[in-house]
Amino acid sequence: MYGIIHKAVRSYVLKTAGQEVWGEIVDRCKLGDEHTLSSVYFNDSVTVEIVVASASTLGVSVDKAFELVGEHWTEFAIATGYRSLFDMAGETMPEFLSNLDRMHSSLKISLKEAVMPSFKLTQVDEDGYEVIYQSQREGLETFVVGLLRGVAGYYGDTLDISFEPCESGTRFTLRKVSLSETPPLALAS
Amino acid sequence: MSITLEPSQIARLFPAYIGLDRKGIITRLGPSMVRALPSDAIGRSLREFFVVEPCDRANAESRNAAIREITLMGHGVADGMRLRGSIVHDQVKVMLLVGHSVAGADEDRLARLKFDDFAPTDSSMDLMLAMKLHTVMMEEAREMSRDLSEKRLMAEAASIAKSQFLATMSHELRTPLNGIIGMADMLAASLESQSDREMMKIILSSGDALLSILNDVLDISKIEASQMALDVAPSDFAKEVERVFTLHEAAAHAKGLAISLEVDPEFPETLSIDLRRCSQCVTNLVSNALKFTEDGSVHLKLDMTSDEGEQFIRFRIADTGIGIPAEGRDHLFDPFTQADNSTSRNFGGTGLGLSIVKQLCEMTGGRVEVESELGKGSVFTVLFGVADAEHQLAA
Repeated sequence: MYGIIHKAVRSYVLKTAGQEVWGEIVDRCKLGDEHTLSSVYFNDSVTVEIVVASASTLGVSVDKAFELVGEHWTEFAIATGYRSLFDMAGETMPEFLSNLDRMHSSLKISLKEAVMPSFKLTQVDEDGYEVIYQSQREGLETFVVGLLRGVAGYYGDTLDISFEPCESGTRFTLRKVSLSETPPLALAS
Repeated sequence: MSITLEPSQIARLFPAYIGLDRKGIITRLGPSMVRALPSDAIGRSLREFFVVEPCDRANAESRNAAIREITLMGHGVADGMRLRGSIVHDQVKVMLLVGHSVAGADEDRLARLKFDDFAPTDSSMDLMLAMKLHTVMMEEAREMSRDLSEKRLMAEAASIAKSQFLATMSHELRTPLNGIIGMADMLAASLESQSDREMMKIILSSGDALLSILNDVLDISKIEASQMALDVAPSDFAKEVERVFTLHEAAAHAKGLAISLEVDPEFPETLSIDLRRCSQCVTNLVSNALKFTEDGSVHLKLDMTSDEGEQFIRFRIADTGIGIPAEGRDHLFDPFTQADNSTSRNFGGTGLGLSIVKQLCEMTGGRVEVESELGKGSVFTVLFGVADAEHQLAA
């Protein structure tokens, strides 16, 4: 994965546990400065090692660590300077999710080694959606749960999320449980 | 072949299209334009919302093609929009198949655009995202460069401060130590009792050992603070190596070691080098070899060699000592470092000798290399650069 994922992990650890804890993870994984450069591509095993070390240091399971980083992703991306991509991708969570594949397809032009996942959104009823997630990678379902929760939070929604394997990948069932009065774009830029 | 597209199909392919009649009155709008322009835009002139970029206007007369590219700049309610695309003429109708210009677009302009506004065939969105990505990454690279630069400056400042401290301390300690050694030496001559003389001998040898350490610390401090300069002069290096060899012969024999010296008969009599510093390197290496060899031999060899067209003095010393573990070799030449922690416990020493050898020979433009096998011995090869070597060899 690209170093931007490592950068997001670092951002989450710094926010929740501080510099000293991140320093422990850096020492443990023997990370150099280049490991958090967005444009540098690393073998997935490097990324997994960083998440595993973070999980262990933070005292949570690896799945939970992926979920927490996923949930932090939106806030991280906006703080890093990608707010305009969110603005362009839609004004609601469903619009954003519908545009994700297109965004990934465009980003692939620049991030040539990226292995992008696919998200197909279907509205089931007024507050319910299904997302069919397909990826060449395995074991990132909880990361997706976090991502979906983070995106929903950005648009002022709170979601109940469950997932199960299906023929074409993994089916995520999303249900809005409450509608916040906070309008979209509420996150600090 | 011709294909007839329904308005909904055109809207899907070109979300930001604008249909015009020949007078420039808007007749149809794609979904993106419907969102961007007022609801009564149909029936009004395109000029109320956009002007054609001057450079495109200038080119227009020279173009006769049915399809040409133009750039529209918004004003009034469309202020900030900058659209680029093709014009298609179809008899009395004109259609602008507009995409989105990237060049010159800033955040405020981009903020008005959505993914849905870009036709699937419009690569300007890819470019726009790429530019966004690269802008953030450039800032990231600049930030990293600033951090690294700060770290480097801090490390350099710390290194200079450390070297200055060590140099000052070594100098301040050396002066009284020389007094102690000098006075002890004079006192030794007047002692009558055998036991007093033995004790004085220990004081003197301890003083010499301490002085040697201080000299090493002072040398490494000067080198690290870039305050050491080589004093190059025509010298007989082979003779100096023979002198160092003779000095260590007794110590080798006392340990039961065979020691030998081989000087290439073609070795020049005179070479321009800093004799004192090159001799210091040889002394350090011979002392080390004797210290770390319990059985067997130590062999010294001196000759000339060339590397990439340059001439070097090559001094090799091979011993049958304890050898150096592979993991210890990486840091062998670092100051205050030995092959492993047990080395200084078992054999003593500060770990400065090899570091001084490496830095001195590198100051001459040479280098030091080591080959070693644990339990079998080591071979150190030092190359000293020679000032004006070609001239001297030819002479």
